Amino acid sequence: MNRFRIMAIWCGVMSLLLWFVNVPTHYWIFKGSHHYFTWVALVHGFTYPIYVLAAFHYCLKARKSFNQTILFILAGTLPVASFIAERRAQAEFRALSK
Amino acid sequence: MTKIKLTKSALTKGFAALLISLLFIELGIWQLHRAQDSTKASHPIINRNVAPLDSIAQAGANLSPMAINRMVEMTGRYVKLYSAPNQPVANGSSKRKVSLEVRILKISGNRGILVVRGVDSTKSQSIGEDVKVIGRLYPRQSTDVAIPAKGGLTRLDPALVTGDTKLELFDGYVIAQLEQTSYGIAINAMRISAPIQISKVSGYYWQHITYVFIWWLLALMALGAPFYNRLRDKIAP
Repeated sequence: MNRFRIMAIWCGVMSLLLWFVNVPTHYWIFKGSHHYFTWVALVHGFTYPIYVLAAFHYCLKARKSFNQTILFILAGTLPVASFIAERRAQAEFRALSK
Repeated sequence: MTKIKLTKSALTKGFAALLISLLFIELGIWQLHRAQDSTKASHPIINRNVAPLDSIAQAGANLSPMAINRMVEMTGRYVKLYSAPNQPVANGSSKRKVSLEVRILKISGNRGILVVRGVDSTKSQSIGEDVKVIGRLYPRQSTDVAIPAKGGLTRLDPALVTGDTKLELFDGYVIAQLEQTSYGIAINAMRISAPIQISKVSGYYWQHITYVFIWWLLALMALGAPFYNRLRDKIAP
């Protein structure tokens, strides 16, 4: 659970940077001439597989259906989706603990 | 040992998983090739020999990384004239922005290539005969550097002139270093330098490698998808 939460928050932050800092600056501000934020895409690219494995493991443990597992995995690619997935996972975990 | 029932549904699921997995593997291979291409672009092989354009590139096809930065020669006749304003040109260690004179050179086989003759000051120069051009081959520019205007090119890209000609165009463009008439007389123009273009974005290589890793991981997971429920029941009964 904690592994998934950490990776979901990490992926959410990196996705926000990717979509709202890296992509606009690369295409609209520097128009491909400077690459100050290329590292964002690199870090997101290298850590997304860890998120995929964490999400897969969490979904197996939480007995999620196959379709839900796919949605959890895809959540790491969208800016806010992984935050939503993390919130939902935590809410489910709290409900089970009560 | 549990027996796996080979029902029609199980076979369909297995086949679908295999197809999706193959698609992901192919996407990974595509990214791997892109990573290799970006390495070649950042470490160009300097070949000073002048090659006929035909021997290293094909009209209507993407330029191969091996063709980029090569010195090429071709003979043909200029058919269209354009101006490419606001183009950055190396001036010693700095860069200045100038307007360039660009023409389409029609070569044999109803093919053509964009040729940058030099700084746009010789617009009125009429060249009605066959010309032999020697210059360096560059990949097409992907970013606009000027505001669209009639007869003006916003970037050096043959895609912008395809509507003006019936010729099959080569990808990329050539910066002319020498032009000669069929009698061997050199044609003057305000030439610009044609430095070897080096991609400074080494990060792109690793970016593509991360995509390779992701696609192949997803391929592995797609292969295991038909066994998902079985695995879930085993891990969290």
